[in-house]
Amino acid sequence: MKKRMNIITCGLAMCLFAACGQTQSDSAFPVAVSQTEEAHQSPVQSDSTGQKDEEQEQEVDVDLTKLSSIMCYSEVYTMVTYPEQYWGKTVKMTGEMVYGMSSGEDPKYYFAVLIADALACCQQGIEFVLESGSNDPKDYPAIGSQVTVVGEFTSYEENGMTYCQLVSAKVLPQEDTQ
Amino acid sequence: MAQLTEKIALYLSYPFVQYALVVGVLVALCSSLLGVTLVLKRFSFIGDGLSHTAFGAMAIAAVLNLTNEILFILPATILCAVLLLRVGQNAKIKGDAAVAMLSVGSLAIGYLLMNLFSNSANISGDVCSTLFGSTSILTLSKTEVWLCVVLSIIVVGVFIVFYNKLFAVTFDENFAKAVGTNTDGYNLLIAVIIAVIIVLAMNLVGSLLVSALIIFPALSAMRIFKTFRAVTICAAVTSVICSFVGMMLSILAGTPVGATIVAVDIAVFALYTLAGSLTGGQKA
Repeated sequence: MKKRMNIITCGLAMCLFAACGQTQSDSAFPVAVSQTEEAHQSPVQSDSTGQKDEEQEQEVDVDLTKLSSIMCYSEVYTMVTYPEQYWGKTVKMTGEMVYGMSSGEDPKYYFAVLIADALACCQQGIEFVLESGSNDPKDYPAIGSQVTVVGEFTSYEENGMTYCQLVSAKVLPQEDTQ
Repeated sequence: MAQLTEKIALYLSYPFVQYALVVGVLVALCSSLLGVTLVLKRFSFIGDGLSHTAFGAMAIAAVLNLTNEILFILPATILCAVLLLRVGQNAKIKGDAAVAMLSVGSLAIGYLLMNLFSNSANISGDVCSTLFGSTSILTLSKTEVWLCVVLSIIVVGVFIVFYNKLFAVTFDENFAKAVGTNTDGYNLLIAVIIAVIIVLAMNLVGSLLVSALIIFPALSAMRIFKTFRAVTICAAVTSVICSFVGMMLSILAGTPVGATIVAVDIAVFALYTLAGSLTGGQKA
């Protein structure tokens, strides 16, 4: 149990409270990498293409895709530090897709988008859950791919720590990122 | 152009950008005021040594899990500044050797402690941000901003009140001592103010680049002006403008804040040098 908690904590800390360097974030989720590499043919992108018009009409309160890299990093830092200020707001973000995973017989996945700062040494990330509520990696974009996600910002407590996530999230096709 | 104006307006609407600009301008003003004194007293490199000390102190504070790190960093840096500027003059290890020893020693111990005991998930990110000030100025809390405002007012106030004494100690310490000025006391005051500025400036440009914020405006102003007052005023104005422009460029282009400000300082130094060589500098 303790080991499981450690893995969850480490995984989420990587995702939510910044990780450093591309290699570190990749190596933090070895199981997820092997599963997703064989499983993903980007099903989300093909599903979401049909919803293009609906997504474009969706109002966004915090559009991180319009900010410069350093502004984006700072805004995400503020969101993670003061989550209550952003509850209920619709957030749009672009970054690298990463997974975290708990150990045990029934592992739970944590899906997040990592956003690097100007030096790419600091990364902040926000977890997201698709509209369907799926926890299956097959329903999410491939790890390491660049994704744009829109969802409602919220935060939750787990093991005495506060984590941020986007719920009812949609992954937009790449042509909608700008 | 309209797009750029729109973008600037959007960025300026963010509270953390407003905080950064306020703190950046205040830190630039304070550092440039003392920069003139430090350059003239041949203490240009002391800012570097003290900023590394502050980095070491920050690492210890992080390891001790202190909620308000500045309460530990500030006294530790002040102590080292006093040791270097005042006690160091009578010590066996003097001048540049003492600064170099303190500088590299603190840097090494700080990094070692952060690696061995830090409970952060992002050690490299913390180190990167502390050393180069990549983002720390944009992630300030309201408390940190107020602390910076109060300390800046104190520094500027002390500089204005003791301007004549600082001037005397800077140019001819022996003469000042001979006419009854408490030079040891004023050297101690300079040491304390330098330490405060270093700790404040670490947030803006990072500990490796603090020296640039202290010496570049003073050196730039000295290319054109020759009197202490003129150099001080010119350095203050130049520093504030460079910091503001550097921060805006950084925010717009997405470049690291500290490095961008120093790049602007270097460009202005080159311009002032050119202007100085063309005009021959303004004589007193």
